[in-house]
Amino acid sequence: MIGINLEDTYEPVAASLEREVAVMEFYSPQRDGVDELIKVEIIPHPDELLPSVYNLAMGPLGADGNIDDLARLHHQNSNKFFSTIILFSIAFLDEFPDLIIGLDGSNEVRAYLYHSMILTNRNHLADYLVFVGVDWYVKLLRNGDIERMPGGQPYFKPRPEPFDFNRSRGDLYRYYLLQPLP
Amino acid sequence: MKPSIQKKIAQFKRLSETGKFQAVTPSRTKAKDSLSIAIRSKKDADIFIAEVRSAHKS
Repeated sequence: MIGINLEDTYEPVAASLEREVAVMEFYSPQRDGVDELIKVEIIPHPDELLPSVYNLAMGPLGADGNIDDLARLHHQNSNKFFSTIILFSIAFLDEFPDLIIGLDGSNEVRAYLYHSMILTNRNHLADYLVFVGVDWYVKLLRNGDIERMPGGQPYFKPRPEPFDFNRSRGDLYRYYLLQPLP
Repeated sequence: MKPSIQKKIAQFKRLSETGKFQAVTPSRTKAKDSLSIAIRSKKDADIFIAEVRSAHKS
């Protein structure tokens, strides 16, 4: 279980809060004693139809100089690691309150992490962030079939709602959104 | 917002003005994420964002 404590975060060694891309770096001590340099990026969503939605990426730098967000790390203090990233997200939304940070829940493990983190830290984060969960839904047609794409695939539509804190960890959303308080 | 958190946020902003990331470009490829599955047109996107903003206010 990840416990967020915004008072206990790693010191940033560099940061940039720009609308085009926000970047931050910090060192996260690992269980093997190595201080791993972590880079966090908040970048525009790849879909140009969603200019107000941004994605969050984090991880060590790979050999190619890019964030390796699939790297397996063993942080000495995971709470402090995630608290640092959440704090940077809050700073970004404080600077650009018209923007939204989107977290993709298509990966089961990550969706569980996001869902659990929001559930567990509801009270602590309620002073800073509003959480929205998104499900996909498909319209049931009167002929008994579902609405489909020309190729026959289901015609998914997004259904955002205020994060339902009574919803269990087993009932994950497909997508999570972080917004600043109104 | 607690003054201690405001102070931490101010530190990010200070670093942003003086740090090494000026004129940075994203290091990672802009891969499609799953939200694109359900957004196919500007109309879809406009409706979605309006609903998100509405959830924001509820």
